Amino acid sequence: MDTPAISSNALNALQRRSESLNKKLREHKAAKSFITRTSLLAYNLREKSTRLLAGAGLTGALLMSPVNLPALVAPRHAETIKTVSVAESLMKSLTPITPHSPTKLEDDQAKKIEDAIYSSTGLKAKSILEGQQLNHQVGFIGYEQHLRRYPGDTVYDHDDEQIAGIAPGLGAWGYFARSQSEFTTQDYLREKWYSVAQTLYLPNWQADFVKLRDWYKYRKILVVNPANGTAVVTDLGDAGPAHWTGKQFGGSPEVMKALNLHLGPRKGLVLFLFLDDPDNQIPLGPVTRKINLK
Amino acid sequence: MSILFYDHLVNKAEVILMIEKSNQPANHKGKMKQLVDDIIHQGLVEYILQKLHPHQHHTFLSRLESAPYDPELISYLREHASPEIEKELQQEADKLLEEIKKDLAT
Repeated sequence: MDTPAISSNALNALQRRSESLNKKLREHKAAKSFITRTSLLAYNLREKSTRLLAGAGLTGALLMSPVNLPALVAPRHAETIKTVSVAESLMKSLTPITPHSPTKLEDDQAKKIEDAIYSSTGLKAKSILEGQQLNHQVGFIGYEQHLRRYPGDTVYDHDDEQIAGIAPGLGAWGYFARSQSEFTTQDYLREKWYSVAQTLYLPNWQADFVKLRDWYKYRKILVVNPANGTAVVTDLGDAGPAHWTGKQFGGSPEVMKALNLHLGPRKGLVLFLFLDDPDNQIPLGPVTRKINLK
Repeated sequence: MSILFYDHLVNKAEVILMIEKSNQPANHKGKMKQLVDDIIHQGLVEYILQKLHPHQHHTFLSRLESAPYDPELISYLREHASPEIEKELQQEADKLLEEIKKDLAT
């Protein structure tokens, strides 16, 4: 068979066509906000689709795909196995020792739970950190709405769980960024993986407000659903919920989805512990493998 | 089942073969295959958005993002864009593939 003639300019020509189509697509308002977050790229969607289908056990379907799937499937498959391993380990070790009602942990209970978490994830989760302690370490977490990240932010600018809507007011710390132009990846991640605790009910909150506000602002929190072993590294992004709700914590839509608490009553019992991470080494988001901190 | 909901309507084999059989460096071949995928994807999504009412754009894109393989997307488009959407997407993909072939030969 003859070698097909491909011009040396072919790559540039394809790039120009792709850019031109991308520009055309961005003329649609709804598409623009999706593309800004890159979630509409074919490659990203194929990855996501492959992951979802592999999770559903549809491996036969994957082999029939016209794209180069083995390269996409292999690492994802490995990651899935690791995820299951951490979750299984957490579930097995935590379910027998986690109280099943909202509570402040006793020292010995806390130690056992902290050790179990460290053994499964490599993370140093703490009931008390630098003398600070929340009123509950075990409690019910509820599904929160998205928070406005900068002036003018809308729910359509958020890349997941838009069904949650956006809170009418700001989070306890105000906007994550002063303007869209100053909005950074760190701000994006902080909102995506935010959690909520009842700091306003801390006994010394009023007296030590300035000091405590600075200490708790974006404080890293490990949230674990002991029923299924899923764990998410979050940052404290808001204060609440109110006593009357019967809940002690809140989670962003993405946090709740990662904990598999985003359907039905959208509420569940979790462990809620500080993370000892003075050098900011622990990434926000679901814990999918054991982390080795230096 | 498709990885992207329209994969069964697009036949990229000829173009992919052209790239594979060419004497381009391996990294260029990979990049070109990815661009072919992007061009078809963006072209088809743009075509769909033109056919849908702007009020339906967000719903469609959200559904595409959350389950890119979902065959129900075709049902949604049949109902809201055109009863002949599969045939139309096939034709649009063929047009895009012809343009890609021209780009490859330019």
